[in-house]
Amino acid sequence: MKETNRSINIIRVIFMVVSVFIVLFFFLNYSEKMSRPLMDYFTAGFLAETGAQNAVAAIYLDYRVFDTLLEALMLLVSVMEVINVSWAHKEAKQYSLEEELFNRKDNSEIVIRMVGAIYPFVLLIGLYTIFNGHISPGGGFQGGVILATALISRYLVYPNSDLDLEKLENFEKLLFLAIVAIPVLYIFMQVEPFYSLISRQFYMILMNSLIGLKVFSGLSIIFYRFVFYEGR
Amino acid sequence: MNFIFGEIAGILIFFIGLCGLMINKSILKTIMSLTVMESGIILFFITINYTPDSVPPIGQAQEAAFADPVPAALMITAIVIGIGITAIGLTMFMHYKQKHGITHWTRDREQQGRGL
Amino acid sequence: MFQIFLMVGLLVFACFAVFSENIKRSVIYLGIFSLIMTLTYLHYNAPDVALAEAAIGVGISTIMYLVATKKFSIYDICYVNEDVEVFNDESINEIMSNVVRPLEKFLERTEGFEPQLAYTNHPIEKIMQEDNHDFYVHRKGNLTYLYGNKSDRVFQDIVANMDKVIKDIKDIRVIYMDEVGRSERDE
Repeated sequence: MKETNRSINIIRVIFMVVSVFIVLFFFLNYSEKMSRPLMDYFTAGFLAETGAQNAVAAIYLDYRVFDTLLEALMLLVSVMEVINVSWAHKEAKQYSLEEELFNRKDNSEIVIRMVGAIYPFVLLIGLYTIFNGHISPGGGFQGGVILATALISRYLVYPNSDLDLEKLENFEKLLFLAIVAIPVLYIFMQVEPFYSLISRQFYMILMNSLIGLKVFSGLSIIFYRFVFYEGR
Repeated sequence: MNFIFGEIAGILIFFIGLCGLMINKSILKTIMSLTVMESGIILFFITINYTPDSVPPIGQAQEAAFADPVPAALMITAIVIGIGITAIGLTMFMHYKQKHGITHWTRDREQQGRGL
Repeated sequence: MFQIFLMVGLLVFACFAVFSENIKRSVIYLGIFSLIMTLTYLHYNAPDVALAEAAIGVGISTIMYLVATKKFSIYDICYVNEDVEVFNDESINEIMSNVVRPLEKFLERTEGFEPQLAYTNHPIEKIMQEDNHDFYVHRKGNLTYLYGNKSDRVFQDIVANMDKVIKDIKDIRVIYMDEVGRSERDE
């Protein structure tokens, strides 16, 4: 059994090396440099057209909104999959810790104090990343993930499942509806009271905060399902 | 010949991940190999249009050319989808381990259910 | 130059993460790989992607892997000795060289994962009721008791290779917890 495994593995490695050489050979010799019309079009006047100083935010919030919509849908689908595949739906109460049991767990004092000191700063940098997404590096996805990291550090201090996941999931679905609705109104139907730079920037900040909240709630649902619902 | 190191490294990392996908028997290592493959693809896309003297596409400084913002905007979406794929894979792994005791892809009964 | 350094680091840590034998080390190598990947994106003028990778690849994804491995891979060992008042460094060193280190080496060689350890001096009946460990080492005077389940394959392996694993202690009794009849045996 072992011998056959080893010989098959050697065959696989040889196959990989050969295919690496073939791909590199064709890539280095026969690839051609193309002109870049999309980049020239996008970087020509994105500030005047969209009101964002960050070209990446201008692309994923204005020029190519469909990408963002389908990405939000994809994250929603993955959250629903995580919730519905797990079988332990009824045993959720079993994993929630009681108060005296929580006190008896030997949580480190240093970790608790340090996380408590760091916690507001993590929240602050997450909100900063979301609200300045259109004029500096950052945006909804990154800020939402940083907020979810803040929630995970809260779990280190207070490992108790007092979060209502049902409400959070409904909240996420509502946010997805808003994310679909607002670009349809703003970009496709052009329903806005006055077209100016300020209204465009308001749209950017609104979309970034909606996406950030959606990513935050989705990732925190995934993490809390992992910790409390799965496993023995 | 002015090739960029990043593209070649992206291709190599992709094939390292594929090799791990074929060789490893443990399910968790398979999910990790998927993550490595995805990182290789993202690196390839980011460096596909790189010129050495360019600035990040922020603001309106015109003294140097902008880096290409299109693959960056596409790859942010790809990274967020990647975390969704990882979460789904880990959930299904936990489910199978709990219900059937399967931790490896092999049919060897001796290896199943023994750690990872 | 910086570019070459980044690329070599990426390739090396990708190989470590994919081909390493131990799952936990593999998770940590994957985190380092993501960190170097963040530097690389920053070097190629994509700060947005670098921020996303730093938050997702290093933060959330590592924590998710660690939660998954913690729930399913750790073999939970509890060492009980009621005679010791306080576990100081000396007694822990003695336990380490006698019991724990050989057990860790054996488990790592045969199963490929590391055990998790706990020391206590509470009475063993209380611990068995309150906590749920996989494997108990109970020291009482000169005797050493091992508690485990008969359906547990890892425990069966340890019992079968007892004379190779623990060489220093002669007097060992094995007790299967799920058999009430208490089959005991001397080693």
